[in-house]
Amino acid sequence: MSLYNLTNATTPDGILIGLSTSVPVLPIMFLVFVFCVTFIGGIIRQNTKSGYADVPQWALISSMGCLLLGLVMTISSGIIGLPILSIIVALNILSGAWFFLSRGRQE
Amino acid sequence: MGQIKMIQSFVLIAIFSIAIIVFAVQFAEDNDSDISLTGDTRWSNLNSSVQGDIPELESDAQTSSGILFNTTLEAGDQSASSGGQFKVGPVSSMKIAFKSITGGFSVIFGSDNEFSFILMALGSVLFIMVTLYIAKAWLGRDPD
Repeated sequence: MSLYNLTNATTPDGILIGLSTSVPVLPIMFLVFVFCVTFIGGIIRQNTKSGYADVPQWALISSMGCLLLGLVMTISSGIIGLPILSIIVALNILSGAWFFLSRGRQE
Repeated sequence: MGQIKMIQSFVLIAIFSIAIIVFAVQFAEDNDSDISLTGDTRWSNLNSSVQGDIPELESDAQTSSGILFNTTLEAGDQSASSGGQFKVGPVSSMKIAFKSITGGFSVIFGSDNEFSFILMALGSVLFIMVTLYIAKAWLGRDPD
């Protein structure tokens, strides 16, 4: 008797969808991880290099990176659902609004 | 932020929102994705309402660019006092931008009553900010 059921690891689809079925929050946490690493890492690195961090710009870049990864995850069902994709698109639009309305870059 | 920069921002927000939604929808169509943005009724409603606003923005932009290209200036002429040829559809682009932002808010925060105070607070701040910017830019003062 195994401690847990192993996923079908013979195909990439099996690995991705099997893992997502076993742990539904995993792809979402992966997207959150990518967003946070790009956002926080970009801010800290830019601040270290230039003494100024353009926060709206990094929010937009990291949300666009999440959108690209999220869109790839929507090709097969069972990885992320429609609400998550909708939230990513909404995050992109709000980040874009923040970016275009922020004054630091323009003035 | 002056009047021109604010109009510029709203135009860019409108264009960016349309581009992101169209990209996500088109990606799902091209790759025959199982999950598509068109399955969400909120985006479908936003898409249809924005589709109604786009012809207005297009005609505004065409009129403005037509006036700009047809403008002639002789030696000794006074420059145009209104500056109307540079206002590329501010009302229509603001309409699209605000609808897209509202769509984003309703997806993230929901449209339940529990969250309505957040939208009201943020909307009020944005409204006061925009009103102040417009009033100060109109009166010729420093918009800051």
